[in-house]
Amino acid sequence: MLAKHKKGSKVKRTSLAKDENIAVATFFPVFLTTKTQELLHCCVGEDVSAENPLKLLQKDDIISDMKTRAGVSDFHPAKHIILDYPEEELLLVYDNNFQYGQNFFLVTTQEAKEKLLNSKKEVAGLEKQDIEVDDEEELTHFEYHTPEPQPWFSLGSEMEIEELTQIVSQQKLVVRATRAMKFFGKPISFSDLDPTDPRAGVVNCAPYEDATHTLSRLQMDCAVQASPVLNNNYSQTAWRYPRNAHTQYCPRMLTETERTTIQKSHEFIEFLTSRARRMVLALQQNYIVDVFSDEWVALPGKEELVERRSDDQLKEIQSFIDPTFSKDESITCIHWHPTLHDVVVLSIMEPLPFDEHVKQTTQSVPSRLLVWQFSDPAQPKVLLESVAGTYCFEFCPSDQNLIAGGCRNGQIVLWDITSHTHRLMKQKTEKVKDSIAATETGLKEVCKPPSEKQCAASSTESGHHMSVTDVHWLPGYYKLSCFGVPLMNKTKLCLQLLSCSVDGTILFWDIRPAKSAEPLERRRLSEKGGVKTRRLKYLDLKCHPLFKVSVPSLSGGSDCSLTCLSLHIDTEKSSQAKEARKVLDNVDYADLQQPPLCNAKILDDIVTNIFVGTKDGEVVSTSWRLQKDSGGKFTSSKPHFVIPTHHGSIVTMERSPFCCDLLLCVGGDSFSLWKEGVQDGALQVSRCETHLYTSGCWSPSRPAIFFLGRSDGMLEVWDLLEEPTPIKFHNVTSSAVTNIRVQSEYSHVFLFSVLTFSASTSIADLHTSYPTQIMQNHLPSTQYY
Amino acid sequence: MAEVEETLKRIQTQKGVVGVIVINSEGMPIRSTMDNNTTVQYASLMQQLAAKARSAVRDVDPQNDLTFLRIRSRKNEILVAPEKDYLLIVIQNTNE
Repeated sequence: MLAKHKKGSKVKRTSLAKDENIAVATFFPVFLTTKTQELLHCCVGEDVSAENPLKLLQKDDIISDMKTRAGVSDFHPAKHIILDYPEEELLLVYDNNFQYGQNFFLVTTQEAKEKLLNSKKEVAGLEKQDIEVDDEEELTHFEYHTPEPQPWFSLGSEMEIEELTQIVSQQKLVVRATRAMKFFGKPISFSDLDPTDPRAGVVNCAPYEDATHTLSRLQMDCAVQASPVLNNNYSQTAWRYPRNAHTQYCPRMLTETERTTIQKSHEFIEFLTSRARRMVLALQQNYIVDVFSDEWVALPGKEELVERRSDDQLKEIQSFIDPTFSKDESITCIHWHPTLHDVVVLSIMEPLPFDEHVKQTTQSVPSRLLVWQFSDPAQPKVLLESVAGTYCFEFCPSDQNLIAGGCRNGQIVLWDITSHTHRLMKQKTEKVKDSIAATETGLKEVCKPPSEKQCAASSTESGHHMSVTDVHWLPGYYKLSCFGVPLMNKTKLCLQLLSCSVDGTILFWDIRPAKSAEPLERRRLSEKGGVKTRRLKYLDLKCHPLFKVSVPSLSGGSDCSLTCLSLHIDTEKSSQAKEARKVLDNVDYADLQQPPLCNAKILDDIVTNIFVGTKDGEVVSTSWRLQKDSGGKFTSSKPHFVIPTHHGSIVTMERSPFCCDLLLCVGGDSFSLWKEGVQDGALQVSRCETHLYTSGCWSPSRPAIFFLGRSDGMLEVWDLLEEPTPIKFHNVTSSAVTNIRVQSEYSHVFLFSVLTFSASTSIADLHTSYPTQIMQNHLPSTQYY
Repeated sequence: MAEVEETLKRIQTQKGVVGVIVINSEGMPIRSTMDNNTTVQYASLMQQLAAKARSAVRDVDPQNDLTFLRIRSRKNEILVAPEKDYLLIVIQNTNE
């Protein structure tokens, strides 16, 4: 029974299941309360049950129920279904299993209703039948229905099918081949033809190795540029509202207490002391030296120099005219005092022409040497008397108090002005006092200047016979033996002098006592006794010349009359000797002895040449060394040359202070320049001027300048660098200029003394600027070199 | 204190000295012989200049240091002696 029921239920279930698909939309679940069930006569368990779920309801009943109970009615949710239902009877189905949510459900559609009703009947009918029939009816229930074709869903199988299908893609070629008629019916054999066979007519394109394919590219130019990734960036603080961050209206100051504490601190004191030292040094420096002064600007400008140029005339500073002593007499020689710069010594004589000087040799007219000082132009300071007229003189280079002069009668005279030097020097400093004293006394007493006699004179027999024309001291760095051999002079004193005269001889003298003099002690005793004797007294009238050099004249025969001579003086050696002499005190010549020959050392580098000028205008160069004659006797050597140069007698022969072998020779109406060693002739002879020259002098500070005095009183200034005319003419005096001496001590101012026949001496100042800018004293610089 | 006075007097009595000022490193005058306005002006100017000069010297050679500074003008000369913490300023008239 159960099995059958099961099957039946199974069927039912299946039919119900089928209906369910339809019924989802059509069944409306509704919950009916017990009260509603009683009203509608569908109580559960009584009218409706599981086996009999169906109940037909009247539509009107439901509507009346809904109206009576309005919203509370159970049918309220299905209100619209009920109202819309077309038939009068609604099917209510009891849902025991709550299949659709509620205990009842309404069937909303007619078809479902019918189905359900029918199925119920079938089930009822089936159930009835089931009970009756069993296994036999089972097989007949399986009704085979042919499956209906479903619409086909592609699942990918068609692709494979398509791939495997063979479709004719190309149109088949139709080749129609015909044979000749005769061959019809005969068997045909088709065969394959290899395509490589040439009959095939197939050209085979065989593959070949292409060379380009094997080429492997090893290197390839590839350009690479490294470009840095640059990024310019800037930032700026945004100062949106510019305003002062800090303001200060008055300076900050320290308070007094702070200041005092600082000043008391140790390090402050240290700082101040150390810094102050340096500061004081700097402050002192500032007012000692002005380091920023511009010296170039401070130099005199061009305008000043131009002014000076025009003002380069000789200015006469002083003129010494002495009415008492030198009236109507001529000045023959003048020398500056070697050390006292304002003392001038001059020799005066009768104003006779030179020729008459020569003649009147025997006549001994007493004459004087005047010593002038600048401070007293009216009177000479000292008068030096001599036995005869002194034609020339010279200061001893080593002893400033000794003057050697040559007289007209052939004598050599020595003066010693030691006693007056002191007075002269004193005079210099006490000039002011004297002038005051003089004004006081009213110049009533004109004191006669002291005179000094000569201290020694040479012997008359062995000296010159005729007038001595030139006297020179030998420089102190050598001395001569009695044969003219230069020897070394240890004492560096000038003890020898030479003189030339009109009689054609040059004599060498020595002021030391001769060997044959009295023994030393006895002499001393006699001298010491009482009276203060003159120096060099031993020489008086006993002086003999060392040796004699005679100069033969050109024409032969009688000797020529010599007028002046010039020695070679080595300036360096003479200055050395001067230095050596400074340490020596006043020397008593009496103590010096003429040393024996063998003691002294022979000097070989002394130039023994002398230039001599004659009356006839010849220039003679000779050496004073005596030579052995054929007979063994020592005679004077032959002169190197005798050249007639000038037309008149030679008045001056002077060596240039800068070049010691350059000689200026003035005579007649021309001058000539000679050089030591050049034996052919003069370096240069000037052309004959219109006037006679009477004197000449080199400038001691400018190398190429010399001064010539003319017979008409003009002074010519010659510059060798600016030949050929004299650069300046100065009219000095009315009468002839006899002697020029230039003071060399003052570097920027020249002081001339120009002598004339009329016994007036004028000291002239040649202005500095001339011919070009600033004068310089070249002499010290050349000596330095 | 007496040393300070003596030293300053020594500087002051040199020929041509117009004024002496001592300032500290911040430019505040410690001691001065001139009036306040001038002092303050000189102090600020010289402090800056000395600092600049020192930095210039040390830039060229770091081993070097400024020892003395002199500013010479037409009318006068200003001498500045710097130290670690202080500055000594002296104004002197020149000869020209």
